[in-house]
Amino acid sequence: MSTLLLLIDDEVVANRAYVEVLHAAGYEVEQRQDPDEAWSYLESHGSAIALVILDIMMKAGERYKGKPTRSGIDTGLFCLNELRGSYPNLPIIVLTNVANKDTLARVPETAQVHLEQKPKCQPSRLVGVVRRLLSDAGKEGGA
Amino acid sequence: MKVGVQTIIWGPRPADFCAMCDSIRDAGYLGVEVFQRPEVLGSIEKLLRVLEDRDLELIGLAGGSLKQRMEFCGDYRPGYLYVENWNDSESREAIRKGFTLALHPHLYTQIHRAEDARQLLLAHPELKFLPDTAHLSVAHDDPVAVICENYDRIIAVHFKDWVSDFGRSPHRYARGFVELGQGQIDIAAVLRELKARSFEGWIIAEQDYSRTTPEDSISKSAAWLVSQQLELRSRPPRPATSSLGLSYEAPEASVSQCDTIAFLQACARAGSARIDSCWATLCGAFSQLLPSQLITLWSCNQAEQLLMLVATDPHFCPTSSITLDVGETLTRETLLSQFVQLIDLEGDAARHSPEHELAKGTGAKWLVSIPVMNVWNPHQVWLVVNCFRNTSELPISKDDLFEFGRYAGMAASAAVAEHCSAAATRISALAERSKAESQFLNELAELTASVVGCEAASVFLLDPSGEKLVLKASTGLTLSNNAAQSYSKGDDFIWTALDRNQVLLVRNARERKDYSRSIMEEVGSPQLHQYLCAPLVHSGTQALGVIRCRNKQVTTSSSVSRSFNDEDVAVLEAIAQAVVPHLQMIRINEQRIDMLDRLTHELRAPLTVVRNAVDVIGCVQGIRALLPYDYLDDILSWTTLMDRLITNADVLSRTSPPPLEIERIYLVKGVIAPAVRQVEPLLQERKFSSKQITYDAFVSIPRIHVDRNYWQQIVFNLLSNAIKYAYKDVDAFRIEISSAHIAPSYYIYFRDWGPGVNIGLEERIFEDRFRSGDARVSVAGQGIGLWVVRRLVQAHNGTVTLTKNAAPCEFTIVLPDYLSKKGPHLSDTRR
Repeated sequence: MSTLLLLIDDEVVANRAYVEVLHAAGYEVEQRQDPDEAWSYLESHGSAIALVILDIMMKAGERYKGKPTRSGIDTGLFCLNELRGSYPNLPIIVLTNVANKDTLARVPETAQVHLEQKPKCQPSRLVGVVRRLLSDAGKEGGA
Repeated sequence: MKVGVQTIIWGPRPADFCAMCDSIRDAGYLGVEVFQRPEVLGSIEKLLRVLEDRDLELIGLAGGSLKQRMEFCGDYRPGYLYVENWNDSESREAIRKGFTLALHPHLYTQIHRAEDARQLLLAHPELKFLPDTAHLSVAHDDPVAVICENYDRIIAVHFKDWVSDFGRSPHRYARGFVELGQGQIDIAAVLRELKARSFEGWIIAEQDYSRTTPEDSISKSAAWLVSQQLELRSRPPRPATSSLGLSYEAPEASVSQCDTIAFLQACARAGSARIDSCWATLCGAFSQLLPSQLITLWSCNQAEQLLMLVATDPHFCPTSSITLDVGETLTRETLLSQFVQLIDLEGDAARHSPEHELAKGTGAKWLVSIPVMNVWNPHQVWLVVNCFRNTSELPISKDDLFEFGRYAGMAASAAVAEHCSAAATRISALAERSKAESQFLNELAELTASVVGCEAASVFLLDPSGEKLVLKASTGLTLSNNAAQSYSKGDDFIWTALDRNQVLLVRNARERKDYSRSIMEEVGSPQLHQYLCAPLVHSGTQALGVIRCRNKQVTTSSSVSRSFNDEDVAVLEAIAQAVVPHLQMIRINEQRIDMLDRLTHELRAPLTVVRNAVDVIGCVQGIRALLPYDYLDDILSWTTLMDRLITNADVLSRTSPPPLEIERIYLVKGVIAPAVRQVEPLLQERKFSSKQITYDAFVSIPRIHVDRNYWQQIVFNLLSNAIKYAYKDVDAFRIEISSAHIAPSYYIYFRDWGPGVNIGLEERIFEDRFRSGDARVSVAGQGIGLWVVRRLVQAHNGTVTLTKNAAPCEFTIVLPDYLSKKGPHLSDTRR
């Protein structure tokens, strides 16, 4: 059975290469475009998800409506905090085009969370990062 | 139209009344509206003679009570008697006796706004109207509209100018009065309206006090009136001063020099103290001057006709605040007469007064009530000092006591001004250190509560729809879990403050219809429900929000007030005035950051797609061999270059130093080599080779704690500059990078053999967007590369300077050598 990854990112076409290369590496990737859809999926499939890849800039949806997301610029950070609280053992890769260092500094680099910036993190590199995090978490699977 | 002047600018007792009139005549005015009280003027006959001697007309009388003026006039009927407070019986008597009363709306009196005057004008058809351009404007009335609406009742118009620098609070607003044409009131529009209607009455230039001399101020105002094509008198030869001239001679002082000096010293101390300490000091000073059984200091709110106890001598400690209705007090005589009163506390009229009650147990039988006049508003009583004594004998004359009251007024003005100024300065400092709006607002709430001295302070901002005021920050406030965090338009009195664009003082919120239920959800609902609300309005029109204070706190043992008073209004207004521009700047900056974040995100997105596609294509077996040129690597190089440029723009936009992600790296492997690879496209453009860029092994610099990405940016920018400006001769192109360690610093040298930098521009090249004339013509670019380099080097506690202008051109970066052991700052994140 393939290892299931959840990709939370509103850009579908732009992520196509990531998804295809991860598929080719043997991972199953489910993409959800906003936090509401993502949490709905998590609530039903949470235990099956081995790793989350999370963007930062996306619409806040109903879940983070009252939060200071700067109209969606920082939505992913609220999602990240909630994921860490609800799924403390779930590896998370924050994969973003955001260049703001202040925002990026709010992504904690821990054993659970890893930051990658999109222009530098090409699909082949992402596969490597996914493998390493899954291995560190003892969740080896896929290719 | 005829032009006259109001004599208030010379104060209640001009040193030489005749000289005053000479100045008025010399300035070109044709008439006077007299402010000075009848007891100063002597008799109506003398007054008329003095004016006639100088060819000046008596326009009207403004000083003293209506009764006093009627007695003064006898059978004479001046143009009008000025009225700013309405006493029905006195006014009716005056009208019955054939006097003309001119109603003048005046801030913080019973006739505060045009609407108050309108009611009286409707009720009394014989009343005339005397509008004032500044009082109407400051009260948010439109002087032109008011004049049009009441034109047929207008007997004269006060032309007064004003600046909003000191706010609109009751005791400070008058400080904003200035010479005509120097302020922000559109008096010219009023004049146009009067001219259009062929107004034939008096225009009276008025200014309550002068920052220079009265003569200078009235001359300046006269000059402005002339510039508006109004005819003033051309100056006639100066006649000899009449021997019947009227002058006021100060009586011999009844106080010793020592006592006077001691009092003045106390006033100086009071003037530089916190407001509550100022009141206590003034109370103490009067206690020394006029020993009494009890001394109390009261703040006057003339608009609400209230007296609030603000200080007493130490042995009297009331357990709660004391606020009196002026009409029920003996002190009202002091307010009406604006002079010292000696009142029998045992008289019939006094027995049921609050002062009689206060005197119980003290043995006091007499009340000496001393007005403390507002320095900026000569006919406004700011404070009253009530001295309860057991004798009617006064060791000090009333005139001298009045003067001491004036000194106390100066001290009070200084204390309030200092308090307001200090609050504004603290706001500026707070804004400078705030990184985000939320931090600024949270600290603002704390600061407001501390400065105003209240139990709780909250900051509400308008939401984007403009229909809700949202609670953004508070201190001292505990709301229940389901309490509303916002008030819809009209839902609460904080909206009233915003709509009126004026500080709102609410003495008992529960009695108001616009008291939102939300306030009732405050946990541990307070005993009192007093609120002070200051609107945050930008440029007089753009509403931003409201600052709200709840319940004043007692601060010192000798200060008793637990009510907000006019000084709190003044300081809260000063805070609000200081907040607005900073809030705007923070918001603009945040909006700029948000916009930049979106922009860089949008720019990076297609780069990501392209690079990802190249990555996928590159995995196709044998693809590179099929291509005549390594286009795939080319795409990666150029897209990396684009990403660098986007990062440059990102750094450029930040006003604060960029946060660092520290790694311990070798500069050659981690920074210089990658940067050289990244400039490959630029080298190719110029037909240079990367072999023409050489660097040593950097053996003198071990691994150091730096931000790798920023250092690649630094090296990239220096290299790309050198490439851009290099000579066309391919063989001449050369760049060398070398290093050294001379404790306590590391040195990194960038040398290129291009045209270099002109002498005199060594520092300017590091300025944002600076480009020399040659560069602007011949080389593409924005002039930000070196500015970014310096910012990023400085973020590592380093320096970068041009150490040689040409042949070679040399940049030297100096870094502290402790970077081999730790990062530049404690707060740096580590990756």
